[in-house]
Amino acid sequence: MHLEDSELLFQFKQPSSKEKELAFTGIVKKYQEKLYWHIRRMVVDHDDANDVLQNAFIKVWKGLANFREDSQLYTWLYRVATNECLTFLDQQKKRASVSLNEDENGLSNKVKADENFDSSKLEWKLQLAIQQLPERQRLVFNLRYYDEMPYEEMSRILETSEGALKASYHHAAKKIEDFLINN
Amino acid sequence: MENRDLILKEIEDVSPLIASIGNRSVFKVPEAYFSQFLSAILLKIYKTSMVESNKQDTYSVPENYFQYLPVTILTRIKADMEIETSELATIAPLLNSLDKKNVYSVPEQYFKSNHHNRYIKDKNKARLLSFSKFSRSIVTYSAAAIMAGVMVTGVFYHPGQTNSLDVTKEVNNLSDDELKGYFDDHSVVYVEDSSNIGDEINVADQLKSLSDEEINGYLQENQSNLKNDTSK
Repeated sequence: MHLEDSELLFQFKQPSSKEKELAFTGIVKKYQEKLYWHIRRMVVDHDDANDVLQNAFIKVWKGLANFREDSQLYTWLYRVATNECLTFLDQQKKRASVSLNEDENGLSNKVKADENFDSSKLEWKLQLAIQQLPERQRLVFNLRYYDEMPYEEMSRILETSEGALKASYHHAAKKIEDFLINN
Repeated sequence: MENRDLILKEIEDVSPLIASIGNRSVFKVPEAYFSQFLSAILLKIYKTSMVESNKQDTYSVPENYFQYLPVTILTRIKADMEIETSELATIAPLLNSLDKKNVYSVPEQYFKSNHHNRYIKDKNKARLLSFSKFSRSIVTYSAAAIMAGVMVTGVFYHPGQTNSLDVTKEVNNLSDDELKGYFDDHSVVYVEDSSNIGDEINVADQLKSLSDEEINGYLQENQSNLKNDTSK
């Protein structure tokens, strides 16, 4: 049974370091899986997802004392995780542009390299289709389709208008469908 | 989270194919990953905080250093300015008392005018002088003529070629009266020997006591020395 976010935040702001650690433990336990899957769908590889998730939680540990509660805790956690994802993907792109051996679409190759990959299954084809999308559209599609997040929350995380997010989601879905039909 | 049915209906409207696939994740995580993640992240935070605390202990600053730093810097700037002022006052008090106001003026709208802009543009562009074919041939022949002139002149004025004068012969041709008259006109001789610098010898008086044979004998003995002296 998880504590409410407000209780966890109150506990974290106590002067006792033990209370602080207990609160942080509660936050990690409550959100680790959601954030992991959000990250994993973006970076594909488990080890990369693990690195990004750890970095995100270290940022949370450092920044939680200054969290002003203007937004909900989980919205803030998603924003931290998303920023970490984007930073990681940027670094990957820079490395790929330096290394001549790297393929143009590294993420699709990572999907294909997964030990459970099965090209005959539609679920895996869907993953390949998602990796063809531009980064921002991929983010919007994943948050809506897999995390089932309301546009209002997505708007706070991605700092984009709800209208733009809806349009982006529809474009992404159409592109994915085209990919699935043509491949 | 928003109503799952609403989201499903939304995707069905856009793409029934995607809706039929379902949003179950195809990726797998290693066994016991989430149960061990907490201890892994706590260990990492502990290590990070240890590194940061070690970083902080490496160097230290004096107490209240940053609090007084702006005042310290401003004081130093003021002191430097005072030194500059007093330096000029010591070297040139009048100059120090003068106002640094610019006395020159430029025509009105000068910097906005086309003249100024054109000047700037021309200044940035290197000027090219073009020679016509005719001009080029004139310059070529002129240069060749100048070089030939220099070479011919050099032959005549070569430093190794000097007109030598046989002094002994010339002196022997002089009469006694001419010699006496010369020495009367040039009676004072400066002796170059450093030990006798400043001593003056009246050569005319000395010569009066000598006979003509003695003078001729002296000139014949020192013929070679005189020759060298005149060649220098």
